[in-house]
Amino acid sequence: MAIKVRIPTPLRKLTNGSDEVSAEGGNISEIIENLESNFPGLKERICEADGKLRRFVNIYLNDEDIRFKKNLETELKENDELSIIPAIAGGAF
Amino acid sequence: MALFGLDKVLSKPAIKISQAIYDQIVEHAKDSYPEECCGILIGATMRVRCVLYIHPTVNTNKERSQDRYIIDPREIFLMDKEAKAQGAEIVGFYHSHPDHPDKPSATDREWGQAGYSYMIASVNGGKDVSVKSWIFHDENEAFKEEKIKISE
Repeated sequence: MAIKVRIPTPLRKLTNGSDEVSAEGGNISEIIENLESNFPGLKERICEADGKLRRFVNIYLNDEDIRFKKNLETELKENDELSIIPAIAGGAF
Repeated sequence: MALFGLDKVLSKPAIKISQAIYDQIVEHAKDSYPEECCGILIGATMRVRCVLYIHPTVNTNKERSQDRYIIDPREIFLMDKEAKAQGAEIVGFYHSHPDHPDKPSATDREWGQAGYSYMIASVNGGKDVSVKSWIFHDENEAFKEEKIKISE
């Protein structure tokens, strides 16, 4: 099943500039593996070495944060859309 | 075309913003003092890097709002959709440093994301505001200043 994935600015270098790509998979983990095979280097920007989602990254399935669903194990269905959203934070010192 | 390319390499990085929108950032920074404010910059990057409008957001770091900020990812998600529908894009983010310089801190760099403009407004005593814009393009780079070009 092909799912549309929205790519944020910091990761577009790895998708040859594309802001939206298509990936195959039945859940989000499979989508990330498929993205990695098409765009090497993308996985390590999304996941920690242990496979968990990095703290600098949020993923939205349609309009919901996947951390409030089954995280990377969240199952996907036809016409679902994923958005990778950067975590934006900082501070004075 | 070669000359055009050379021109691009030699020109210093810059971001264009109108006086009115720049003033909105300054006012947001003053109004939020002594807490940090934050928001999203929406614009274009195709020919000229510019800010077309801003979307002020709530600082969701409630425990340390005087020296930290977090932008709710849902706001970024929604603004990305809105901007895309308008043929625009998120070009960066702004936040304030109450009684601290308008330069990126170690925390700013730790959380910084490549390719976005980070405008930082220093607010001294709640009154004097100075704003600088910063960007890096490669994961391992430090922030570099980009000139803010204010237009009418």
